Amino acid sequence: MIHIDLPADLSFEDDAGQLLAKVPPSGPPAAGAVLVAGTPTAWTWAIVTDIDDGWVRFRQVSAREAARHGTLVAP
Amino acid sequence: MAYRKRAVRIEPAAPGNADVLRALSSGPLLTREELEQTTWANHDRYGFWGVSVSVAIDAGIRHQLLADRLARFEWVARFSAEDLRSGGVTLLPTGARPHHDLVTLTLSANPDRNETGSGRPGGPGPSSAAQCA
Repeated sequence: MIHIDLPADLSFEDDAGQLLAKVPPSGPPAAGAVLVAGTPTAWTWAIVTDIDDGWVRFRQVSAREAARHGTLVAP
Repeated sequence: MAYRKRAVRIEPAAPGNADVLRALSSGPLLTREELEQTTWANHDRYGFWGVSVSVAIDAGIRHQLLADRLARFEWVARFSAEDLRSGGVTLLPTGARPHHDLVTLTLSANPDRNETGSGRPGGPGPSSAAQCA
């Protein structure tokens, strides 16, 4: 099963159309971080845009774009 | 908790035959757990109970959504606007087009939740009808 870094509803977005999720219990990711967001059955590569008072704003990207920003292999 | 104001677009209501689409997070069924999680998230951010959906008012928009935003999802639920309205659900045009929130004016009937006020484990329960900022 895929590891989800950022549990998220990939339909939930802000007024600008950016995807949103609550900061996970593991702590806030860094802006610009590449991670896997969603659920084990509906997930996406994502890049964190910013953190806003307990919320993570991120954008959905392809694996190719994600690889340009960081490693796709979990440490 | 400080809620954010949610932008509500001023536009004609989606026609009855518009497709209401939602990527499903937990498999082929829109589960109660998924609905609860997403409505809580919406409430925590915007102060009202809403479920995020995309509304396609014509075939072109539907095709675009399915080819782009919804393309990577294995399961997408599809409703008609008319069916949802006849079930008592309002389609509120929120955020960026074609995003909408499905809202109801009263909370779903769950006697345990309403009596105890503890809809979410460890957290306060809903205390008022749906409202929009």
